[in-house]
Amino acid sequence: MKRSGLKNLGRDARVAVGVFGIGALLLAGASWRTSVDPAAGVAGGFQSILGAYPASLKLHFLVMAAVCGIGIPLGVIAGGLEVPWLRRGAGALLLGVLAVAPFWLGMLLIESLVNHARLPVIPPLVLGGESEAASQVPGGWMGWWFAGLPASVLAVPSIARVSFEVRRVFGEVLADASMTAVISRGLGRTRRVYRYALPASRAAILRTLKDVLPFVISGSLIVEWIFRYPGVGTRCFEALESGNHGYVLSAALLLALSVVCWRAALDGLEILFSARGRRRQ
Amino acid sequence: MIGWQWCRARLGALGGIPPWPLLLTGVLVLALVLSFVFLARESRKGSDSRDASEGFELLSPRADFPWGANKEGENLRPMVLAAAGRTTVVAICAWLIAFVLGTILGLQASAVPGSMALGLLRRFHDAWSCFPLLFVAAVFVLRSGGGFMATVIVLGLLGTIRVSAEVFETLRLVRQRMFYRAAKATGLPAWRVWMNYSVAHAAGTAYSASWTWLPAAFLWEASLGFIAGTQGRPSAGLGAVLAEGHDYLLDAPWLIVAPGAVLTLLLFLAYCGRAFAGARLRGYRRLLNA
Repeated sequence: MKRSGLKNLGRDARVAVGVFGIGALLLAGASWRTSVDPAAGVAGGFQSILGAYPASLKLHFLVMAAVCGIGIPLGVIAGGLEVPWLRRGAGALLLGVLAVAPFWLGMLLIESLVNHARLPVIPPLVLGGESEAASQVPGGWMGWWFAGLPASVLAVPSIARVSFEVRRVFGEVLADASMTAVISRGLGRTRRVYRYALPASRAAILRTLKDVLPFVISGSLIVEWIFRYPGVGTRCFEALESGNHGYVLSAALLLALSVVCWRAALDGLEILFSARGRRRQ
Repeated sequence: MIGWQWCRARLGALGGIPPWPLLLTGVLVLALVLSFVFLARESRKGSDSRDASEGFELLSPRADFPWGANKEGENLRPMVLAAAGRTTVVAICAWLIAFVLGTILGLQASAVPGSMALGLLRRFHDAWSCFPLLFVAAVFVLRSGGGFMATVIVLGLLGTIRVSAEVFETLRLVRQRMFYRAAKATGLPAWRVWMNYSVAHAAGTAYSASWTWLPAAFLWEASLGFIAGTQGRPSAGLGAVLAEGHDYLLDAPWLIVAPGAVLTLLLFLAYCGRAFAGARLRGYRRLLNA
């Protein structure tokens, strides 16, 4: 296990090199036969992207925390259901939640919170207003509140996606022949789940978490703009409007590198968990 | 296993009940036909409905306008259904491109000899899967004008990369299996081995893998339409209707409820197909890995 985790870390480093290569190709493709100088766009925009990145990182962190804290336990509960129709029903429900487009959910949330609850949802409350207003986000707890709303919108389909996959993996592990031996030893249900089924499905759960990351980041392009959240997504939306494609692609490159870092962190977690598992044995 | 031979075998075994690939394809074809019929009806009566509803700007839902009316007084129901038809047509066309090109590219990639090529292809796919592809798709679609064809081609090509990676992986496993080596050892002509094993397995895998791409095609078509719509560019899907509704979010919230609900329904159906096809693909992979 430990060796495979280290192997994955090595692979992440090679993937980072590949991301640079593809990013360069995409930038070259976008700059082909255009009047806008892509080099100037990239050079001028990179500082702006780095300036907006901490806000986006906060958003992604909140989404991933919600996915780990809610999505995985929900999937474990749904996968461990013993009544077949209940398990299938839970799967259908999760698919239904997954089918909700995040930007539509965001608009519904804004409408209901602003029109009915009269809550300050967007930093300076502008809908279809000036872009420079988006750069003013209060610090402290209000900052977390303004990050929390787009994060919750982004988190809902991601939680459903992770729960659906965890439910599937967990159900397969529990139905596996090796589990029959565990049951015959007379172990209780809770012990079976936490001692055997969870460690057995750990690799698949981490893989699902790795897969959901680009999905979250893609969704943030529109959701950040809808909430006027001053992250990379909002800046890219405005850059698309002004035709600055080099800016958007360099942001995509930076976000792809951040996905590689997140994946490396998840691989590090795998190494940590497998070391703990070995110590227990 | 999942290819044409698999279909034929199951068709016989189930006493004429169509197997799942045919069922799913039937659903897709039906959706496509319904979309075209609805679009044709919509374009025929286009201007009449506008004249009839003049003076009903931003009308909330009521008996004669069950889904409300937009700022130009157009009845929202036929408008949303026509937009859903356009979204469906774009997504299915992208699905078709991903299926056909994914099969061809996967077959080509698996024919490349040597472990270095294999490593490079895998690395490319790993790196590509890290990119937030909506950003990339938005750049290339908006750069080429944001029309129907541009969206179909960009979404189809993005799906092709994913499908071809799956096909490539399946063919790698197939070539390690004993039945493939036995078929080669029996002295069958190379083209028959290619047709009976490589193409059949590649097509089956590409079919399932392209179904796993379909929900993303629906969602991204709507997202790209939304981006184009909010920027005043030409677009005509559910995303464009939602973008129009976004401008009146606080005054006329019904403008986003109906198109969003229809999009959710379409996505739900696509995700059901994805879950079904994904389960078959995993079972098939498990069989090849055993």
